[in-house]
Amino acid sequence: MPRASWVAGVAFAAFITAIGTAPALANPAGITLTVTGGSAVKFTSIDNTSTALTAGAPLTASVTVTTKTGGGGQIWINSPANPVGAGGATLNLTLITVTCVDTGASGWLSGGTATLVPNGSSAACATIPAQINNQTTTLKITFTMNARTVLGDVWSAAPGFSLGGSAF
Amino acid sequence: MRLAAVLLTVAAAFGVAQPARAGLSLTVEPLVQELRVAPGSSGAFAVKVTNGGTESEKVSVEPIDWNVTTDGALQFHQANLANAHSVTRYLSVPAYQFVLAPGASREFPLSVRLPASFSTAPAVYWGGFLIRGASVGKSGVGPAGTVFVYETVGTPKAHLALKAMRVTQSGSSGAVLSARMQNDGNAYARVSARLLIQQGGRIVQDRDLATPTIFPGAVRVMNEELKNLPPGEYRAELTIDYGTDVVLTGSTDFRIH
Repeated sequence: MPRASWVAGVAFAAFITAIGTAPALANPAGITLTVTGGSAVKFTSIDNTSTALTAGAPLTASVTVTTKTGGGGQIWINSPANPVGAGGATLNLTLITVTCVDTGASGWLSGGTATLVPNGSSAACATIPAQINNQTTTLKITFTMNARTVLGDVWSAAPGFSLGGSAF
Repeated sequence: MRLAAVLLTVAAAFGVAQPARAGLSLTVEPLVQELRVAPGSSGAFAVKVTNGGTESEKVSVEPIDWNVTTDGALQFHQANLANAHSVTRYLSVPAYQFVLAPGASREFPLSVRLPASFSTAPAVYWGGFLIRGASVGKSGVGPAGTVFVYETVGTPKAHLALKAMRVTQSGSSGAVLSARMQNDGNAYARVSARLLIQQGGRIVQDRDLATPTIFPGAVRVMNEELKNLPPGEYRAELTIDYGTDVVLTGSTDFRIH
């Protein structure tokens, strides 16, 4: 078990900025994302064994991430409103999980999972730490749905999905 | 007005020296802009959007409000007039939708105009735009990026406190560092943090940590996974710089069994 002692102290900084709201030491991230597999979004759900939601090929995208300058960033998925299928069923996008895997095994990009948010952005599916300069890796992004969900409908080519990045 | 040195390029190719790649591509820059526009006045900065792909793109520029959760996750959504901290309603661009041919760029001003009735009390506001690219001819996953705008009125008090810090073992040779900070000032805090793991006075790990902006009144919990720590005694030392003339430091001793 760790010892629970901790201290917090304040000291004069080695770097003094001009104004109170100036950026801290690191500049925000500069990165490049390259989407190489952004296929049409076609969800299907036929029975309670369905986990992959695409009609045809698995719904995946490959994103190449290249950093330029130090700083941190996050990669997320922006979604449209809950789509209505051909049979009239509304697909609740919050049932869909997006998994981001660093297939480039960079060691610095932290992949994870995030739940889609209708009409909004998911939490970070991957994060980029500070001070990762001029590095490149590849993310594989996969959409899956809770296998217990049974809707029995097809949602074809739902528009409005974006893979994006932010620096802060 | 301060120009943050920010570039985040979404999609697109690896630069002009390499050929454009198939699929959708969008470059947006800058991604962060810090403003100091006085009430009753205006300002602007240039935003550049580039289609680095091989097909035409519909580009949309959507006003958004955004925030950060306690665990550091960005959240953004359609601009909300009821959000007292939002400056988005005062931001504008010349065109909110346009089409870019492959390889084409468009640069346009992002303007902010604060009415004379805007509060002059020292405070910070924030907002921005979501810029998305979509195929002209078919639906699919497209690239996107955000332009986050910070506005500071007057000189709000900047103060960040490190409230707690601990390390707990996770697995046979790993641990998780948790640090809780609170912005108890009136300015936003853009944080740069550095973590040193020492054993017997020797630094065994040294890493820079990133966490999104901590807004006034917000609490932030940073959880950092530590790997490859053989059994033994360690000290974790965390240094946090948020852009003022002080830094925060915290340390904790821990043991890996």
